[in-house]
Amino acid sequence: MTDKPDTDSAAQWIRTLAQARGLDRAYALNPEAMAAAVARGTASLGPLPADFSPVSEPAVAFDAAKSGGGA
Amino acid sequence: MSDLAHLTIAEAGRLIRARKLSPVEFTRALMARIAATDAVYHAYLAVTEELAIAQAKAAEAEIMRGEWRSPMHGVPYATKDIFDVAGMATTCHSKLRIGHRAAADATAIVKLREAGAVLLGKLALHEFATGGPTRELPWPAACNPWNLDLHPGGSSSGSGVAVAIGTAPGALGTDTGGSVRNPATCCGVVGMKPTYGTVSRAGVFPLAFSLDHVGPLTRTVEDNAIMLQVIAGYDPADPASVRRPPSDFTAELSAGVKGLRIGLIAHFYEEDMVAAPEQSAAIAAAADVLRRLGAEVKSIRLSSLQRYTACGRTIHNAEAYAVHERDLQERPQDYAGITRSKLLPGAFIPAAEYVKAQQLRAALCAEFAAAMRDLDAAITLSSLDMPCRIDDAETIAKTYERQMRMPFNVTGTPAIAVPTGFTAAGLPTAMQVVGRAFAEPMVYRVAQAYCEATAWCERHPPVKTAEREKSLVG
Repeated sequence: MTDKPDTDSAAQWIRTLAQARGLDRAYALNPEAMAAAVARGTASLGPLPADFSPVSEPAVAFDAAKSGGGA
Repeated sequence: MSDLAHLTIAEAGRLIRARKLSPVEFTRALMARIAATDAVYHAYLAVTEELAIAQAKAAEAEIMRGEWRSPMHGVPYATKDIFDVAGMATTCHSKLRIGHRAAADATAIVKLREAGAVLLGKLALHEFATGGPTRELPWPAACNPWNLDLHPGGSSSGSGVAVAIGTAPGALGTDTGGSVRNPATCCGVVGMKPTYGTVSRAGVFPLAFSLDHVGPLTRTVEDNAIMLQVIAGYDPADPASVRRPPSDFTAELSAGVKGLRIGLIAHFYEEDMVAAPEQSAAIAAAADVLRRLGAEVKSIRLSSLQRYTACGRTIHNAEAYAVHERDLQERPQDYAGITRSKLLPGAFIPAAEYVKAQQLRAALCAEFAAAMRDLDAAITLSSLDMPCRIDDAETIAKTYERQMRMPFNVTGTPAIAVPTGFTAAGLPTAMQVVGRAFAEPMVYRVAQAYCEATAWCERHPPVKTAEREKSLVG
């Protein structure tokens, strides 16, 4: 056993993820950029407000008028 | 060089209406200036000389007949090359779009045409409004007008540069995470992101549909209000367009700020992140100017800048990837590397994270609305840093994380960038004036009072000329 990260497995995982997304060509162009994209894309939103509710309505169809509108 | 180069839209419109300025002469003067400067600044991707002269002649004939259309009748402008103009390529500054031909004008272009404005040409941008300056693209990147070695801001880079150097009195830009206000900041001009849905995005190549805004860049606040008035209005062709009559954006311009309550969102740039000393000193001085003019300026608190930015970035990345997925799969080599690096993270955002970001967005909108309830407007910085070298891709990438513009794309509320002075090195600093949804008249009122009191908008960069090196196509 070792505590060293298995870089081969990590690279393979990135490649598999990219292939699953149909991004084989983009991976081949720059594997490091793909690894950075995976890191950025899978990064958490970060800490949410204390009163954040997972059952709140998302702003999917964003409407400024419903967001405190009025001059 | 032309004396007409720094004529404002308001001045030109008045002179044209009074038949003291010929739209044709004005247009020809700006065409000559473009020809003399563009090999240096690279603001234009295409010059529409034939169309411009035809539109200017038509405007002149109408004015002579007493048929006046609007304050922009006979006044030239240019557009970021992300807006469709019938018969022309909408290149988005990308190899992927070479050969494209737009079938019809974007709604904003239609509105400007119907107002009698004269289209000078199409302007440089960051590839698909998200990449960055790079030699990998088919056309050169626009340069900072105050120092050619520096980044002019983006993504509406050509719009900021053309307005600053006097090759267009006004320009159209788009703003998904700050892309009107960033070049306005770096180029020392005025850039407005109005309330979401105020200006139609029909015929504009999308970046992230729930964050995309169209906005004008100009040299003065008054010009900005005039140009926004022309392009604003409900459009059934844009699903996000707001079904309400536009405000009168110039109505309150001269009302001053005496008695107004203005919030100062200082924790964004003092605690959450730390600004360059030149930027923070300039906004402190700007707050003092507003106080001297009679406003009450007091600190307010919102969620952290990082929370707003993370929310906006997640939505931005997911929506932008959806637009570009097929091309990234089939022809990724045709994007510049910097553009791919900005678009690919969207492929890996879990669906739940996108939904959570939109839930967070609703909460942040409510928070901002509550904070603004007892205020007329608020101010904060635009950029934390001064522009870096245009060839320093790593630092440029960091500047997009170190800015205070994305919060107002998340809230969809109006935000204008105005100059707040110049550093010892001669570079412009800037702040944002922000307001409640649809409170553009108040935002313009505060910005105008500040700009009138300081006159930073009247400073123009010394412009360099060169023989034209490239062929500009119409």
